[in-house]
Amino acid sequence: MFRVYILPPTRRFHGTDLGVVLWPSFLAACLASLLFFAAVDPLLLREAGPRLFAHIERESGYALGFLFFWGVATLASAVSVYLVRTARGGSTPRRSDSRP
Amino acid sequence: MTAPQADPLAQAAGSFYAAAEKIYPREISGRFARLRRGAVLLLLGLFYGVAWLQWDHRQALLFDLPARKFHIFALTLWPQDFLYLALLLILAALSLFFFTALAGRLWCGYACPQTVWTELFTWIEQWTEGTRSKRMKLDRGPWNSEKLLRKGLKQVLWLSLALYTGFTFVGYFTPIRELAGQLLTLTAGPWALFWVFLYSLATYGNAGFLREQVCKYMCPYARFQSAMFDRNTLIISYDQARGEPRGARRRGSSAAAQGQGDCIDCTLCVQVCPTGIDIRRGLQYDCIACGACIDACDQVMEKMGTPRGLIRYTTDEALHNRPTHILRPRLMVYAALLATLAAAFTFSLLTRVPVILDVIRDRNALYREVRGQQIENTYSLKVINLDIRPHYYVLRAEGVVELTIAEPTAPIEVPSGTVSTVIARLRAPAAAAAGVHQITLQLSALDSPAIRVRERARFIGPRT
Repeated sequence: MFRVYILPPTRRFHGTDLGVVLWPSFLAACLASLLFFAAVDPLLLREAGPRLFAHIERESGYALGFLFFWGVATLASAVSVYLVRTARGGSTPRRSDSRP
Repeated sequence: MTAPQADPLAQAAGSFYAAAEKIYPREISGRFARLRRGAVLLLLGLFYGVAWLQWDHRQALLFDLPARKFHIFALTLWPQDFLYLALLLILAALSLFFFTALAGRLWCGYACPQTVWTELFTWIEQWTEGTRSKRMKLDRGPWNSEKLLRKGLKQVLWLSLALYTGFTFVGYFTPIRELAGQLLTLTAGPWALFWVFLYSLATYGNAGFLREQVCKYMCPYARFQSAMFDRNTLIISYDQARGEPRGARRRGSSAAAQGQGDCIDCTLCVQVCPTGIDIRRGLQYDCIACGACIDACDQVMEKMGTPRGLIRYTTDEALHNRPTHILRPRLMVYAALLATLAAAFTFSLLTRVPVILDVIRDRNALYREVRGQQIENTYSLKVINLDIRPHYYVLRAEGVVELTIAEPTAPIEVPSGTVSTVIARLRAPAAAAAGVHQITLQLSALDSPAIRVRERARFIGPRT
């Protein structure tokens, strides 16, 4: 029997995946913002960026930068989780509560 | 793609991902509970209090992102001082390694914000909903007026605390007194509001609902801390040799006479555990080393008339009746690294000169001949004032006989935290200037001679 599916029924996503995706990407975004904005003043966007940013304030620059980093990192985390969860035979279930 | 037949085992089990069961940690008192309460009060006191401290008419601790400068009490750091921040982060990581190798997960049990705020939220829960058994009963019971009142009060307190926490957090990045005024008069900017709400939401969600699940499923440290563990690390452990076989018995009766171990299987150690584990199953990565099970077991052992310490802080070596070595190579390497970096950090901070001078030679001409048999070289000087006050700086140059400064003629004024670019013209008699000379430019503040930098440059004259 041929069947094409995106997610095998045994490796469905779980609520904790949301945390597993969002939290590490949050940390990565914090680190990226720290390093990036230590070297780059967001006001540079006024001169060097697209015209949309011609009147941008520092606060918005930081916030948008952070959200941008978080978004990109979230995408990477989510793809990682997706690949691990959907790998045939490659996904090990969470070490369950049935310890010896 | 051919799909493999669905795994029969998994089908039988339904799903591997059982919904997390709600954990009702039982209230506990004792040595470690007191220690944790002390740590929580101290850390929260610092967090909520320090934001309001003043220093020199400004906020004592303020990471002023809009102005791109960090005020840390007497010190003001600029983006150019990024090295200190990096060093500080490395120091923090090394301390974590050191303390983990020495005494296990002290961080998790006492200092992690997740633990600290969860503790605070649990106190509120206990105050509004009562003890563990009352909370369980309340959750099972119908939505009557009492349940509505107790749950409602808890939510109101949780939300207010979360909002205040978000406000305080943002208050470390934008002046808190101004922020308070703006929030009260509803004139705060959209981004300030966004961060306040985001951090409030994180506090409410993490400390109110996720709790131990953050440690179990989200925390990377919980997974890799075992890399810093060895047989001599202090861990919280159940003394299996002494406790097993476990079983109920009468108070005061001898366990040995009945062929039993000291554990009476009262499960109090499981009930008090904030992450809901059974420590008697051995060391688990879910254990945040809070010591609640030690407190619970000690009280039971005392009641039973047996010695304390069936669950205790110990090492793997001690559990196997071998001597524990506290001073071991791993710990000494961590300590040495920590001490070296801390010394370097302190030294560089103490000798930090709050001015930076960059000298760039004019790219257009090597030199220029000017009136009176003089050779002139032009430089572009970037002067960065990293002090909190404006300064006037005087330029001096040496390295060629009779080297004079034709420009700048007046001291260079640089406001606090800004960069001034000035053109400097240096002149030397043609007779002395032939060839390439190493020269030194020195910049010193008019009002405080201690603020002084030297920078090397080249002075070029015609070839002989």
